Amino acid sequence: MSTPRIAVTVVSGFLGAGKTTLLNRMVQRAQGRRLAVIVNDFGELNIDAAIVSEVTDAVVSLQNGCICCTVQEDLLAQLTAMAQMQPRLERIVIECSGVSDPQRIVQTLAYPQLRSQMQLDMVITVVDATRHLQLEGEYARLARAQVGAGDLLLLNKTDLVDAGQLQALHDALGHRTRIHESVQAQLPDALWLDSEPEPRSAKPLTPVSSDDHSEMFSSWTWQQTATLNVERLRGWLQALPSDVFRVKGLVVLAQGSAAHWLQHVGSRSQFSPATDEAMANVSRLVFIARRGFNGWDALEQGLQACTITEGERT
Amino acid sequence: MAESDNFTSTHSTQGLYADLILANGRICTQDPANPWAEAVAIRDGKLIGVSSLGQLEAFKGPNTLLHDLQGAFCMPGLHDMHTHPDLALAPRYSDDLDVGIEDPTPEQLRESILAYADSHPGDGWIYGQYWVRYTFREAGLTPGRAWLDSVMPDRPVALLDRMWGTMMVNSKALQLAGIDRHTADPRNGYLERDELTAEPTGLMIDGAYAMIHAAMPPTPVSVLRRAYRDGVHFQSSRGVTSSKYVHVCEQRLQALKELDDSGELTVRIEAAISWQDDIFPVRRRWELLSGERHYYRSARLSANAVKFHFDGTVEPKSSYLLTPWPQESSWRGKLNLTPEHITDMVVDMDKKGIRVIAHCTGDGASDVFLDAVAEARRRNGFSGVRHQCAHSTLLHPGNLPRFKELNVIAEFSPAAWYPTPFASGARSGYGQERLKRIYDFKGVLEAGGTAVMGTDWPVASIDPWLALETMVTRQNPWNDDPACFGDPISLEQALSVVTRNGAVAMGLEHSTGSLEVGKSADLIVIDRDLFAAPARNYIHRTHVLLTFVEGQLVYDRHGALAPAGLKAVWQGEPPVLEGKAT
Repeated sequence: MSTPRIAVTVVSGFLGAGKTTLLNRMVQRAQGRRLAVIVNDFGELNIDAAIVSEVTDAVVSLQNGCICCTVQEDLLAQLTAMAQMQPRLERIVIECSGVSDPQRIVQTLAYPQLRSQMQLDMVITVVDATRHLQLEGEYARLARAQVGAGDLLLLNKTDLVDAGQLQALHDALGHRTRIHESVQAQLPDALWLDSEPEPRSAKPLTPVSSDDHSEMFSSWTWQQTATLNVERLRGWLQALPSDVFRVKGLVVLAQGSAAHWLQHVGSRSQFSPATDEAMANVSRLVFIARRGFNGWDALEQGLQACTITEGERT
Repeated sequence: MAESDNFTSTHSTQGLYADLILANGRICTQDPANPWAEAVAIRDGKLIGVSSLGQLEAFKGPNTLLHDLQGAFCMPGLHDMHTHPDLALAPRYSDDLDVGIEDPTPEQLRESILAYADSHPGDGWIYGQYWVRYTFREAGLTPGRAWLDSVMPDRPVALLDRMWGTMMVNSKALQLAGIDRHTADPRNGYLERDELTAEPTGLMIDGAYAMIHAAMPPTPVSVLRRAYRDGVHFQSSRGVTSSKYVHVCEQRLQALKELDDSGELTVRIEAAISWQDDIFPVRRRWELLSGERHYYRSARLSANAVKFHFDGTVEPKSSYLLTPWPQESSWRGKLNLTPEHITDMVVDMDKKGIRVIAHCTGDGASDVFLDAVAEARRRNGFSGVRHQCAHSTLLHPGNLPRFKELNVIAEFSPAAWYPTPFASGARSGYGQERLKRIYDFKGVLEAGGTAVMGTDWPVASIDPWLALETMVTRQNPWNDDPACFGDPISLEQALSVVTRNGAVAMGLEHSTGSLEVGKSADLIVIDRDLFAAPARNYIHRTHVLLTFVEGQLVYDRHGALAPAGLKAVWQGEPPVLEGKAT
């Protein structure tokens, strides 16, 4: 495969929801990954002077490989420049202003000049469990826009609300949405960093043993020598249960028998051609779902229904 | 019965006496040989005397109207050398679809489209605003052509979203615009596409709007006429006697001509024909440039100018700089047209007597433009046409003397020459070093060049007094923040910028811009002596009492001359066109 595109995580959320706490955690988790964080103000970040290796005009480089810079007026130019950085970045995290609609940033990432360099991985919207339902007027509309743009909602400060309030929040946020409840913006790595488990079994749908997120999430792989109908596959992806947070892998699509990388998170599906992939007749997908999710059989049946049958082939 | 035409020519007869004498004023003439006067005499639209009342006694005849200014301050009319009332106002006056709900659900949007279609029957475009993405998400729907086709399959529909980043169009609109999976993205935006088939989804992002606008019928002349009418009404009541409406097409020229014919074009207008189709399509560009423009010509209206967008703006870092942007290793911005294109175009237009007005925000863009003018001067000699460098946000110090050498007007627009929350954020993109020499009036003036002001409404306020005050202060006019952007100039310099220099930029320096015998009576009377108090928070509060263009009373705030039988075109307070800025 050619140079992988830089994954971009967009962090949105209303003022005070916990974005900075989340960003601080992300910086700490960088650990040797080439991660860049674009924040509104890095004075807010809890950067320990001891781990700062270099400070230039608007960039702080950390010893763990992470760099932090502030949002510039022109994100497109800033991102274009970051795509050229060497060694190449693996991931960019962009913090949106607390009173902005992240859609603007999502649209910027889809500009043709960026598309070949970076890929929006997901929009994480931090929702303040204590205040979300109290917002009014333009603020309420903004918060809804932020929720609407989110692939994953991090429902934060859940320790400060009671069960009834929590239920009301879930009802308001909608049942189609992927929601992870948190305290102090704790976001499991499995939800935002690649774990890249390799399919090991020939059986169609197989659980993968996993380490750091074993308590909260289970990961499964599906692999089959099959060609998929893209309309049916898209329909299946849109109907995935909200306990399934991510699906990624390689799919062989019937149209032109072409292999494509598929990445699905929240309601966002992205396909990109896998031109130099050797195993072009095998589709394989990795799933990350909430532990205890028991819809695997239905998932597998659904996927099976997406494959092209012998009858369709002729 | 219509009034007779009354043009003057070599052998036309002239009366002996003045039509009007304005006496007992504090008259700041802007004529260096005679800087202050007490009275002016006007005959057939021209000044026949500028001095004291005693010396004008000879012009007082039995029908001469004498008006006592009671000490009021009087000066030549103001020149706003770059503005866009059509772009600011026409969208308000168009009968487009307005959903009228902050965040309509897809169902509400559907009802609104259907209701508009019912009240506007036929197969015409349905164009309007707004929709929002999150209500689609909440409803489990995907915005785009598929959804819009399900609402309205057989009429073209284009709807803007509330955050102005996306236009949603249906299949019919795409078809009429000739857009399919083979269509390339524009440079300043893109078509959202299906990743597998490359088919457009019907979501047009940023600059891709223009591809749809190009397929839509032009803004009706009646709407444009209303927009221009309100624009000139405001400008006359704020003392503007000459202005440039930068970017016009055949529809806009027709609207201006209709105003002119009906006696409501109360400002001298130079209209610049758009060289590109990036704001609106110009369907008769080449006919206009080759001679059709003369059909619109009068003393008030000229279209002997062309305008083009050479580089971009600060916000997306598309201004074209000589050296890379701050925090960039190589990014210098973008030029929309090649230097060769511009050179050939300037040489050609210059030969035709057409002024080229070039949008140049970055110092690299103006450098290339000045090079193109230098080449035109080399090939054509001085044609008598002064070309205009618009905005001139950043200028290379080495280019300051070239404005004089090459006879190029440096036009500055006040969008960010003083600190405001908007300007401080946006302009800081240039970096501190460049910010110090932003909008360098002083540099151009000291090098002997002609600097002028253009409000660039709706980018900045259309009020010329705000621009005049902040030229002198370069500070926020509404608070006492000591911060200052760039180098201020003196009030004397600023007054010549908005009067005499403007006249030079219009090519009318022999007939307006100062109060001298033989020149046109383009003058204003205001409610305060501009020199009587510090400029800050003083000049921008000026009220204009009277405005004359070619000796015609076009604005009379209190109807002061009505009892004497002189009825102004406009009376009363200026129309409110914009919200209060901060």
